[in-house]
Amino acid sequence: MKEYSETAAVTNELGIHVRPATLIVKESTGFQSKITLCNENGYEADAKSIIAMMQLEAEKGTSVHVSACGEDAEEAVRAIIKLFVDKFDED
Amino acid sequence: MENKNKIQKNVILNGIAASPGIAQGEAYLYFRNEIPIEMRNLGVDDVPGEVERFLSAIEKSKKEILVLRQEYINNTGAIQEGMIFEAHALILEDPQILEKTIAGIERTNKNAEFCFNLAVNSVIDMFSNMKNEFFRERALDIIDIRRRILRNLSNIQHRGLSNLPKPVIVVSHDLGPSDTASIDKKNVKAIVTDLGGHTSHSVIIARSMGLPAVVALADITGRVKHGDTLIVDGSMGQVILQPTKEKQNDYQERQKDIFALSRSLQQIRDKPAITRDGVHIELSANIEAADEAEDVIKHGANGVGLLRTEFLCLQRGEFPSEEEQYELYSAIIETVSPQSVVIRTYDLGGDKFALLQDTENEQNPFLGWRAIRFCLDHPRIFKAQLRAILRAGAKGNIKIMLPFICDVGEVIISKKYLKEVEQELLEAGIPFCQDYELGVMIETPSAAISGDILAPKIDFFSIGTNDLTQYLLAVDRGNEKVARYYDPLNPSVIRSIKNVVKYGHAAGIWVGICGEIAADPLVAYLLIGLGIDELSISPIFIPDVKRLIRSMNFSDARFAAQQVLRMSGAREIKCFLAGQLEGVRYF
Repeated sequence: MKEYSETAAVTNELGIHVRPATLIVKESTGFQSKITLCNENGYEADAKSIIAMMQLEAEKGTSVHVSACGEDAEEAVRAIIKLFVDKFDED
Repeated sequence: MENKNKIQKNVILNGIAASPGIAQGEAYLYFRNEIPIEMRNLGVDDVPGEVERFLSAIEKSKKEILVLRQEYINNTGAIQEGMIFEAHALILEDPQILEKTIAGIERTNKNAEFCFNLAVNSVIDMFSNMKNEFFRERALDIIDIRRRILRNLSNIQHRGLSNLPKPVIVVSHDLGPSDTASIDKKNVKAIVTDLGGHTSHSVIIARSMGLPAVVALADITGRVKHGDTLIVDGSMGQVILQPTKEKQNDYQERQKDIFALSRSLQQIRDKPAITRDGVHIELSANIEAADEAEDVIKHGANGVGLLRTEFLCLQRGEFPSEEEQYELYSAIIETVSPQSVVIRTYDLGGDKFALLQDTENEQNPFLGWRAIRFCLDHPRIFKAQLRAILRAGAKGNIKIMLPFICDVGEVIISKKYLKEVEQELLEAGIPFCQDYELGVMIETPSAAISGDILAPKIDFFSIGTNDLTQYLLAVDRGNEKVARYYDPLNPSVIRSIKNVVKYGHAAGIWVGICGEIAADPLVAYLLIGLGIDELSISPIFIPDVKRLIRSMNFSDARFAAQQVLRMSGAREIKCFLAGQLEGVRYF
């Protein structure tokens, strides 16, 4: 089982609200790996659950640790990180 | 002494006396927007089916949300904002809801509603406690989703008041067609509501079921608890909270008196509805369910003057097949035969919502896509109904009535469909009724004004006084702020009725009324005086109105109607008619 992780900065104005959460879940469900996002308070959330994504309460200026476990772990993490870098196509 | 507990006894609440009779019993609080969630234990064998039921409710909800999303995007072009619907669809299938509910059902052997509610409520709580206001408000999104899923779960299992535990008095803020469509008739003793007027839906239902009802009680839902003992006096418009034993006995006596009176009315059941001076009035019944057909006979009505077919679909949540309709109509037609049944084609829309995928909330449903407009846009549904009616008609005597006609073109297209259906049945060698009458409802100002254009195309008119009054006076009778302007004795309504009678009789067709207003003796007297040939009302009011007809002279009523037509206000008209009726000696 492969593991991979990276940290992303939340840079879009509204943070992980409904729309970014939707994008993360849609992206995540395309991968086999179990993907977990962890906020600065140490709260871990399943990236395939939109409710969990919103529960992260990740606001602008904070960081999120993205980790994955599975065959496509690295691709999965990179894909999620890209969403953060692209500011979820917002702003 | 009673004083020991501080509860005040015999508190009287006054409302509108909407449907006569007296009932005593336990209160059953019913909140229409909240679906009651009960906990049931399942047998082990039932668990997989229950999970399946839950999954299909999720699937149905998801489809609904995706339809909403597409409509939203089509209407606004805003693809970005449309994403909220995608989020809702994802929430539906979120492991925190889906997996937790299924695990709950499988571990505890409890029903889906209960397990789902537990799962979803913990999510709602979590959001409600978040520090960011934006996220706190997401709790509302999830509440909306909860309502949708519970509704879709209940669609399959039970809806509205279909599942009452024992005979109760239903206490509600208001009742709509969705609540009462499948009401558990055996277990309702009376209906009392905060809102409503003489013609609100709950009242029509109560009357058709012969149940006492008091409406417009303002805050009875706030003053009564589940299981409280109540006395409902539908004749006086009163509800008594916390009645003492004496009060209860007192009302029991009065209940017996009312029963005795209704028995004496039953004695005229088999006598004809003929005035003293020999004018015959067709006195028929309004019904909406097969089990009411017996009541038509029991109360001595002359057939069915209005069969409301839309309730058949509201009960089921979808359109019944041709075969189901055929069975239902046949049962009613056979019960009532040789007397006739006037079958009104689907009158959906307005306050009778259709439980269909392609009906949206309209800004102005009463001016919207309803009744014949809906049917003509759905030829398949309309023709299936016409086929069922014509086939069932072979078993007795039928008349077909088209609702909400505004223009003669609608009659012409409907006749074209009827011809097509007849041709199809003929070719298939299926027996059907070939000599039915076709009539239209007069319930819009346009139909009333242009009755002379419609009359030559058809065999009868039936005036729907509720809607006609509402459209003529531009009053939404469900809106408390303006409901007082709603008055079927307004001169404009009476003049319209007179004109419709004139147009109908000039063309040699009969003219009826199928509004509950005709059950009021004052109004019935006036209508007969105006030349109306047929009155169609709830079965329970038939004996009362028949007694009036048998006691009055048509010539007096006609003279009175002529005087009424010269009067300028509803109050004056009411006083005058009350005076006239005092002169009628009942026997």
